[in-house]
Amino acid sequence: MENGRKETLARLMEEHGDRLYRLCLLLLRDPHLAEDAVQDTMLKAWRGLERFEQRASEKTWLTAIAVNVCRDYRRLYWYHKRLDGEALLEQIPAPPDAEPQDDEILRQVLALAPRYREPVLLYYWQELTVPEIAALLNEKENTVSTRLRRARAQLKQTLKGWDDDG
Amino acid sequence: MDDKLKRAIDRRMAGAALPEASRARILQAAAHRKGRNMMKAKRKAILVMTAALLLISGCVGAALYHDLARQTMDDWEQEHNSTPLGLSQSFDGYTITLDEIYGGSRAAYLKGTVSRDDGKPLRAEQVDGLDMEAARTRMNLVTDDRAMIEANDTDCGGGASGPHVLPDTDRNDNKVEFIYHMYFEEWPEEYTIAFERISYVDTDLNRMQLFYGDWTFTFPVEWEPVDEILPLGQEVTLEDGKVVYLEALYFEPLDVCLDYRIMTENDRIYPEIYLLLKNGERLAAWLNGGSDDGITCYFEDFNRGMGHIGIDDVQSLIIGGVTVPIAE
Repeated sequence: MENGRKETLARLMEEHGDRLYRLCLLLLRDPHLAEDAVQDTMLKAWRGLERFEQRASEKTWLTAIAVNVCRDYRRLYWYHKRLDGEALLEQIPAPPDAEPQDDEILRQVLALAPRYREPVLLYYWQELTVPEIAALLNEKENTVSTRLRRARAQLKQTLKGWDDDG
Repeated sequence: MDDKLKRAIDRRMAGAALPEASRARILQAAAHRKGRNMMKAKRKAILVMTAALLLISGCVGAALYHDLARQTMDDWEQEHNSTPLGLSQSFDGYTITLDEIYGGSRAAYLKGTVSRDDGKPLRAEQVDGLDMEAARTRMNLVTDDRAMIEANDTDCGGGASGPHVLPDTDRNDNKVEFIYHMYFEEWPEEYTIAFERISYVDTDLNRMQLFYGDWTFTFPVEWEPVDEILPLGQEVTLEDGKVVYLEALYFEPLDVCLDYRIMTENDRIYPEIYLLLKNGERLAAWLNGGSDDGITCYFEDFNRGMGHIGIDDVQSLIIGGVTVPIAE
């Protein structure tokens, strides 16, 4: 592998590796599958470096690849037993500054069906726009907006008081 | 609110980091240019690739619906193993068993029996006058005193159809076999099916009799998938200008289904879809169902009795007048 491309891959991993791993972890609810998904994402990105035209940001580009890899994984590994929110959180060390309600918020996000969890994580956490999410998921913007509205309603119901200042 | 959610996830997920070993593997894989084949290798390991099977042809158009199920099951069983269940429940003189399961990714098929505990004959007969739709959804049994029994299931835990009674191979024994078709987008960890009611026609009284029972079964969803999945991932413009996105074809043990989405705004008219097989047969779309989230199209039940259909059996997918090649 030529040095320039190797350095680019190392940089992508350094800058986005943890973020993508966390995203894959929340989409797949399985640490081992999440590691594999990041690996596939990085290698797909590395192979497509020449085709990356910077019309989207590097973050959006990598996120799009990761989300679609996770979709493939969900389809291919459907029978793989997924951790529930509680079991997954037990495997992630809680940082000292984590607040008590953080676990509950994550548990409820993890409990959302994938079609709702994806846009919630991309919109509220990764701070992508609805058009970006629609392009990334190959969905219509109206569909993304509808799913966000339904997910938000579901979260409001399960996380009483969460949206009080919303 | 947005910030609240973002901050909570940021704080809590800060404890999760991509392991160093994983980073090293990525660099190593890239260095050896192994990446291109990684997904294919994984898919090959996961998906059970079946050999092309001889399809039963001719005369199926005249066959009864339940014969079609039996024909395709027999074909599947010649080449594949099922997952044994061995579950049994008795109530009020009738025993229901769930014997084995053919488990795919999107569909699974329970094979079981209903029997009379007193040992008297229980027979399955095609009831005259039932149209295909009724035959698909009712299990019609005939006891030795000419009573018809209809078993209903409830609380199946997801999409399902059946039980479909199978042709009676021994009309003098006390049991009949059935198959129960379950389908899911995402499977639960365990599946519960509760047979709650048996109704029958008492021919002496010429009236319907009902009694309620409880034949409840719960079993873990832990089978290895025995189907083939063909990811399509392509957008197609149909003859009428409609744009669809084809996601994947699922070659389940006894059926085939297609996931796709209609991308054209405000268009909910389903396109005509069928599979063209290499032997010249066509398998038509039977049901389309879904929403903005995606549409699942089921092809003819039990492959219209033609046996198991795998990737290698299909020449192309025809959708809205456009041919999408499947065979390489």
